[in-house]
Amino acid sequence: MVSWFGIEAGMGLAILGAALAVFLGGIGSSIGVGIAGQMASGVVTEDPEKFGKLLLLQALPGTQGIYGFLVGFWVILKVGLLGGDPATITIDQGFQLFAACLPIAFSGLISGIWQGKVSAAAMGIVAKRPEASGKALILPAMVETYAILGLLASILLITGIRI
Amino acid sequence: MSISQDSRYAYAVGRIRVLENKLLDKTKMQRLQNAKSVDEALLVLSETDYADLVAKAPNPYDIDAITTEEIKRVYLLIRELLPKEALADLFLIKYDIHNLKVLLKAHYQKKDFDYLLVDAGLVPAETIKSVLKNDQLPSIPKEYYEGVKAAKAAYEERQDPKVIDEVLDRTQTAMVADMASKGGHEFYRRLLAAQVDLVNLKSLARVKRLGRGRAFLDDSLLPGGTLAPSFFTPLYGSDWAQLVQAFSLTPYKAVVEQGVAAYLESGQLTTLEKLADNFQMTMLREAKMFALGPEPIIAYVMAKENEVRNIRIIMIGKKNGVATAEIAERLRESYV
Repeated sequence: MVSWFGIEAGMGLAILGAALAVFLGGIGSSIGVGIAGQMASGVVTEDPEKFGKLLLLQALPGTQGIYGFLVGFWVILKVGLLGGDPATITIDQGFQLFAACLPIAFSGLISGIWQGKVSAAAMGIVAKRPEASGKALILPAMVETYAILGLLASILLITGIRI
Repeated sequence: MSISQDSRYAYAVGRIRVLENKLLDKTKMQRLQNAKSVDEALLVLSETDYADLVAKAPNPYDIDAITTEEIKRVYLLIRELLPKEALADLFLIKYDIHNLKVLLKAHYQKKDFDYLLVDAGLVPAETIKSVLKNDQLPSIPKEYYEGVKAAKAAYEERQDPKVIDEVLDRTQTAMVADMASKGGHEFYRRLLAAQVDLVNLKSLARVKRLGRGRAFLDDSLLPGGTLAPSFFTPLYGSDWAQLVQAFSLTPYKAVVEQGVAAYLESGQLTTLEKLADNFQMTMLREAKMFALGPEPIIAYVMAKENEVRNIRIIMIGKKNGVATAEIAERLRESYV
């Protein structure tokens, strides 16, 4: 086992990866949900009946944070931190787990922000043309694709790593 | 990544998007135009966003009071939506400038024009009045103060009330353009530059039509447009066909072509003026393409100003028994 400054390096890298996945995905989502939420508040102030449709649009950019958390949790399970009996992680395995977390960490961060912007724009559609609300939902959902691809890549990679 | 820049306006844009729906659309404007009398037109207005104002107005026939009230409401809303921004101020400067003009002219002509004051600007009309009266100029914004000083000097030199308008119009254009570029409102700055161009175009056409002389034109041209005043001055001496030719490489090609053709046919510049306003409205409609940012807010205020202008044209027309077709001729395109 390699130790840097007395720290168990493999386990440290795995935890760093898990942390990145959770907090970068979380940042993406909080900014996205934040932008969409402000716009929704504006629309609801003038037209409270639109709340239901807007809530759905606001929630869309929230998934990146959940995906990030999911990947982080997966890593924690994998290295046995949850059961109180941590596995021995070599520095190779640590690096692998760390790298496996990156797809969702970055795709979550960026897609969360942009999905928030598209959601806010789509709220403009709901405000002006309520009859086109269904279409308004599809546009921000397109951005979701890339968060899902990131999640998928991360999970496949983590599952493939041998401990 | 500029996340914060545009999303600052998210709440405001959300509210504006709903309020845009309440702007009077073509059908409502049509009904207003087709009303047979002032009373019927007021009834149509009562079915719109103006219902409250019409109901509460002490004298519903006083359309100026109603529309001024509506405009004030819009400015208050913008202030509330963007408390830290000077965006609302951009629109208010023109009322202060108007008040300054009125008061200065009243001062020199020794008459009372107080009924012409509009209390919608940055500085209350009463304050401006007492400041001018007691000569405490430094207590109003510096630009106003300097504008008034320049206007007074110009008037005392030329003894012509028109120079007051000219000097203060320049103050206004410079001040608004400066604030717009400082606030980073590129869209608004572009709108303003086009507005200055079109005002200059209208001045040129008017001065040409009346044959008032080149010096007169030089005085009325405003700086700050995309076309410099030196573009306009040589056109005074040329004929109308050359004027159309000169504008053929500018964005105003269609405005000038159709406007001049209508003038040569009817001898009136109303078509040109209307086309110029419609050109601005087309530019304003670009704001619909911005999802977030200050553009939709700016566009809403200008759309409201346009709507109020149209309502005034209709109501005053109805009051004076102007034919519906003639009213329609004067109306500007609306935003929605």
